[in-house]
Amino acid sequence: MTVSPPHIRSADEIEDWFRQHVAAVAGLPVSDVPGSADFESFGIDSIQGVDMVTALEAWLGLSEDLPLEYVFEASSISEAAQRVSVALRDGTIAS
Amino acid sequence: MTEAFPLRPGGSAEAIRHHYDVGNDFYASWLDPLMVYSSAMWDGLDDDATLEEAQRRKLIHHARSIKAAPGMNILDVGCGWGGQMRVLIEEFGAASCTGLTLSEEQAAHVRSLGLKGTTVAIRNWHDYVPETPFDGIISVGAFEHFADPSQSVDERRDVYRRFFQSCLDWTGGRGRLSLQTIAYGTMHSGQANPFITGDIFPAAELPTIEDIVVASRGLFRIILLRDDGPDYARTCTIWAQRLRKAMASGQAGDDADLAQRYHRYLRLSAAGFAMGRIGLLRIVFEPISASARAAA
Repeated sequence: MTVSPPHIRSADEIEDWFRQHVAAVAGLPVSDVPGSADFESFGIDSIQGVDMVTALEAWLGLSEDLPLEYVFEASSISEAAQRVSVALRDGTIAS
Repeated sequence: MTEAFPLRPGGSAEAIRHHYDVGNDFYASWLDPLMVYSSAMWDGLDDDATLEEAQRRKLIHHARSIKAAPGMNILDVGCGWGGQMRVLIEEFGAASCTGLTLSEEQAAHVRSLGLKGTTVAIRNWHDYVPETPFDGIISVGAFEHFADPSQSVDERRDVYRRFFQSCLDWTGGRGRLSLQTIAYGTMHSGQANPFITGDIFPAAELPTIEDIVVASRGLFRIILLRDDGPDYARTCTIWAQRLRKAMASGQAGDDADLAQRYHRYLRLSAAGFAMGRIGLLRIVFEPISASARAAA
């Protein structure tokens, strides 16, 4: 069994963070922001996307930039969360 | 156009200083050692080539595009911190280079380099009249500042045409022009973000490819046109990473708000280039001969 360091969040936790963030920006209840939806469908534009990634980095305690394409090229919130989680786990992104 | 940045023919010095005169040390903390503040060029390099290698590749591209050779006299419109002129003098044997900038801090930096044969002038190209003709002209990252958002499309194209006519005149109709500029891609001016157009680059309006083609028609022949937007996405991404490290280590200076705003703008720009909303044009112009112009 391997134990992840405490700062590495699971894909589910990151997805929940994304859903809460999008819900707050869009003025919707979190229940109306499914992980299967994409960011654009909630009107998240480029600058809101950049600000969202910056806020996520702060929440994750990262010391370097996450690649924006994790979010900008994701077809769903779940996929973005998965890509961030994988990058954290395999060390692509240093915390 | 705003009261703080009044419309100036050819570009607002106030707007230029708002962006470029925020401290040479700040820019040095995240740019490459040559202080090149424009898109690098990875074409022809290994996939993992560094920013420094790609900036040098870009500077050489522009020098070769104007057929830079020993003894030449070359003009750099918007010379930044002098990286292009250094390569022209030291590696291509140019006899002299003149750099125009509206940034006082850039001019001071270039002068401090003490490059032999190099002159820097704080001058708007719009009023510039050289004493002797140039053999070639390079302009990188300046064209974006020539027009103002308050101008109509026709007014902007008039400014651009005047620039192309000036380039023709400054070389006696014989020199090439190598131009690098950001341009609208899938985005149009009405969609520009107020954070960029108000806070970061006030009083600046991007051209379209059509603007450039129309404005240069009959004066220059376009012999190379490429959109290297992905190069700028990569450059901005690297700059943002470097700035973030500089912020963490304290090298980006004391103004945390400034650093955060630039970090935000660099990442937003990276996204814009990656999505094709804006592009990075590299265009080489060959002058049309006086006889051909007369016959047209």
